[in-house]
Amino acid sequence: MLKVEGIETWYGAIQALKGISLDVKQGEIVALLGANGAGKSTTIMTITGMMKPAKGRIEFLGRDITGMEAEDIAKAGIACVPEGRRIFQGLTVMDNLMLGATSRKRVSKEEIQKDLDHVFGIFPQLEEFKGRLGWQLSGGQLQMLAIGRGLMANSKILLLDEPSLGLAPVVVQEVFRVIKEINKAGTTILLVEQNARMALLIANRGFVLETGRVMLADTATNLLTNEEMKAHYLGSHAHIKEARQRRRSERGRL
Amino acid sequence: MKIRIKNLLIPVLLVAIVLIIPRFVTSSYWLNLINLSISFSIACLGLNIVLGYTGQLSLAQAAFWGVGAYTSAILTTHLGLPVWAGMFAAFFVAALCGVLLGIPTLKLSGHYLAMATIGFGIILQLILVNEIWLTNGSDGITKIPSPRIGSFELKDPGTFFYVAAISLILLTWGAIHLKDSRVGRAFMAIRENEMAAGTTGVDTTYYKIMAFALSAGYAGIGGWLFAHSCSHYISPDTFSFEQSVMMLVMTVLGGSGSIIGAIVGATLLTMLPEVLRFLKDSYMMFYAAGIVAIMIFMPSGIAGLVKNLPVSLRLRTWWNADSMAARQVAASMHPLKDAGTDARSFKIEDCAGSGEVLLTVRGLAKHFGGLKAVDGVDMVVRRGEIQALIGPNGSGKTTILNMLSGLYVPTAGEISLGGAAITGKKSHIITSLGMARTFQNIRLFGELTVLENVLIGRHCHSQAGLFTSILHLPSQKAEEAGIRAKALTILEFVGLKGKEFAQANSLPYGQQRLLELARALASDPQLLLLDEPAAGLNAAETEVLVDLLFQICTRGITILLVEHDMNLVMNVSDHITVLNFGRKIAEGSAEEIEKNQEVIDAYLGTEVGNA
Repeated sequence: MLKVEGIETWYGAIQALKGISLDVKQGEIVALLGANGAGKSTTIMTITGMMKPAKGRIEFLGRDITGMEAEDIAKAGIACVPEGRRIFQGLTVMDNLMLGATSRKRVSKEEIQKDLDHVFGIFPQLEEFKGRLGWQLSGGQLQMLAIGRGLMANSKILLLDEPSLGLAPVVVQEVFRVIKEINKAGTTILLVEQNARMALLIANRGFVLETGRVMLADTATNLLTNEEMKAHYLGSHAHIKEARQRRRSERGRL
Repeated sequence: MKIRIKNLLIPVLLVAIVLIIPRFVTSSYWLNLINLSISFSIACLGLNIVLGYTGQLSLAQAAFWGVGAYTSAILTTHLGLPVWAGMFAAFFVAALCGVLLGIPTLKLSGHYLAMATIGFGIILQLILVNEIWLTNGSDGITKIPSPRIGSFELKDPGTFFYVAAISLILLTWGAIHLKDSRVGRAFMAIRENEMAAGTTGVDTTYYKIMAFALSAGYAGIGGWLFAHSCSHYISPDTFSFEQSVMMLVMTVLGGSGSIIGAIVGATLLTMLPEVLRFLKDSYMMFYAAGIVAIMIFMPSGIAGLVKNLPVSLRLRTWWNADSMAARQVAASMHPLKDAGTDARSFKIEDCAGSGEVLLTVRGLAKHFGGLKAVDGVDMVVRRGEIQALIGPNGSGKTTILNMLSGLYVPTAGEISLGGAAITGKKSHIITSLGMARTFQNIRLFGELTVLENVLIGRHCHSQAGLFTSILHLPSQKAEEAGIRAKALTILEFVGLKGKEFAQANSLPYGQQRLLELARALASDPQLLLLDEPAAGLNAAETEVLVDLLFQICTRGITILLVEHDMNLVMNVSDHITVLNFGRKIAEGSAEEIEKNQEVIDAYLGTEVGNA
C-alpha cells in the first residue's frame, strides 16, 4: 500500500538519504532498522511530508504523494508517532488524544467515542489518567499516549519512530505487544527501531539502512538468522560478555 | 612567517583607518556623529556580552551608559578631578551598579529579567531628575571638560576622535580575547545550557553577575565618551528606556553574539537617520521601515548575512587556515605532560580491591508536592566499581542523579562523597569536589565547538579570571595551552579526534553522547554519573561504549549509571540497585538481580528476547 522509490533527501548540504526504496503491504508490520544517522528517521520524515525529497517517488494506495504538505499526507491516511513522543505537554491526556483525530474529515461523535474506547481498551492506564497533563506522565505512559494519539487518526498505516527508546524492559515488552495487537486489529505498521531483535520478533519483513542506503531487505525470520545482522545489529552480546570476562579475570588476579 | 604577516595585518589596517578618518572627514558635525556612534558601539559591545555571550536579556544598557556619563561629569565638574580619572570611575561605578542590579535579579530569566532591568532604568532616570543636589535635575550638567594630555586639551571632535577610536579598539580587542577564554566560555555555556553549565563546574550565578558587571562597565566607558565629547552637556532624558531599546536593536541588528556586528549595528543606526534627513518629515518612517526590513531579511543580523557571503567564507578559511592548524599543533606538542602531573587525572591505578566507600546516600527523599519521587533511599557506591541504578520509568532514578549532582535539593537525607557532605550543595561545587555527570537527553553546548565543550569541562581545574582573560596575559596563555592539551587527550580517548572544530550540534547522535562523556571526564571526576548512556545507541555503538566504560573504570574513575539496556547493565555492573516507586526494592550482583522475582515483576519482565 505504501511504495517508496529511490528517495533522496538532503539536510542543507548533507545528503541523508541516497536513494531509498521500500514497500509496505496491507496488513504487514515492516521494520526499518539501522544505526544512528543511517537515515531511518529521515525516511519517516520524508514519507510524512515533514521533509521534501530531492528525488524519488512516494506512492500511497496508488496515489502519488511525493512533495505533498504534511497535513495533506496525514489526511490521506498516514499517521505517525514521532521519535521522542512529542506529546503536547501542557494539554491533558484527553486533549492529546482528541488532537490525534484532527486530520479526519467529518466524523460523528459516536465514531470518535468508539475509537476512544478502542484506545482505552488497549491502554487502560490512559483512561485512568485522562485528566492529567502531558508533563505529569512517566516515560512509558507518554509513549502509550503517543501511540494512542496516533491511533485516533484511524489511519490505514501507522508509522512508529523508535517507540522503545528510553523505556524499561517490561514497558518495552508491553509496547511491542500493543503494536502487534494494533496490527491484528487491521492497521498496517512501519516500525523504526534500534532494538532490532525485538522489532524483528514481531515484524513480517525488515529493511536495514546504512548511511542513507538500503543494505539488506528480507523477511524477519531470515534477518534474525543473518550472520551480518547478528554481528552489527542484533548484538550477539559476545563482545560485551568477553569484555566482562576479561575484566573479571583481571580483577581476580589483583 | 605567514602567520606573522597575518598578525600584523589587522593592527596596521586599524592604525591606518584611525589616522585617515579625521583627514577625510573634516566637518565637525560628522566627526561628532562618528564619536557618538563609537560611544554607542562600546555600549553595544557591553550589551553583546550580556545578551550575545551569556544569553540574558537586559533593557538597562542606556541606564548604565548614563551612570558612566554622570559619574564622570559629576566628578570632573563638581570635584574638578581629571577627565582620565573620570573614565576609571565611570567604568567602576557602572560595573558596581551592574553587580547591584545583578544580585537580586539574576535569579530571573527571559522576559522577567527584562522587566526587572526596565525597572532599574526607570529608577535611575528618576534619581537623575530628582536628586538635584547631585545631578542638577532635569537641567542637566553643562560645561563638562574635555580630556587633556599635559596642557593640550582634546577639545575639537577631530582630536577627541583619537581617544574614542583607541578606546573602541582596545575594548573590542578585550571582547575578542574574552570570547576565547575560560570566562568567555563560561558565559557561553550559560547561554547554551544553564543546567549543564552548572554540572560542568561553572558557577552560573557568579558568572552571570560578572557578565552584567562587565557589560555595565563597557556602557560606563561609552557614557564617559559621550559626556566629554559633542556638546559637553548631559541631561536625564538622554538615558531613557527608549535609548536602552535602541541599543538592544543595534546589537541584535548587528548580529547578537558578534563583536563586529555590535559595532556595525550601532554605527549604522546612528548614521542612518542623518543620511535620511533629506526625506524631511517622513525620515523617521523610512528609518523604522529600514530596521524592520533588516530584521525580516537578515534574521541573524548583519553579521549573519556577512558570514554567509562566499567572499567572507573564503577570507575566513584563509584567515583560519594557519592559525587553527598552528593552535592544534601547539596543543598536541606536549600531550599528556599536564595530564600526567595532575594527581587525579587518568592515573592508572587499581582501585578494584580497595572496596573503600566513595559515595554514601542515607535516607534520601525528594517530594514534589504530594508526589514522593524518591522516598528514603540508602545506597553506597564503592571506589573503582561500576554500579547501576535501574527501575521502571518514573521510579526516581533520574531524580536521585539530580540530587547527587546538586540540581535538586533533597527533601530529606544525606549524601556524602569521599567523606565530605555534599547534601544540598550547588552543582558547580559538587563538580569541583569530583563528581561529573551526563544527561538523559543530551545537554551539550550546541552552538559551541567540540573542543570548547571539553574546555568548559576543565573549568573547575583552571583559574583564569576576568582581567587575565581580557588582557590575554602570559599566565592565561599558558593555562589555555595546558587545558587544550588535556582536552585533546580526552577527545582522543573517547574517539572524537579530528572533530575538534566541528559544532557540537552537527555531530551525529552517537558522537554527541561521546562528547558529553568527554566533557564530564574533563573535570577529572572521582565519580561519574551516567544517565542512560546507551539510549539511542545500536548494538555496535553500545559495544564501543562498554569498552569505554571499562577503560574509564580502570583509570580509577568510579561509575554510577542509570540504564534500561539490560544487556549493558547486567554485563558491566559490579553492583546493581533497583528502585520502584521511589524506594529501593533490591540490591546485589547482576546474577542476584536477574533471579529476583520482585525485580522481574516490576521491571525486567519475562520475555526471553530482551534480557
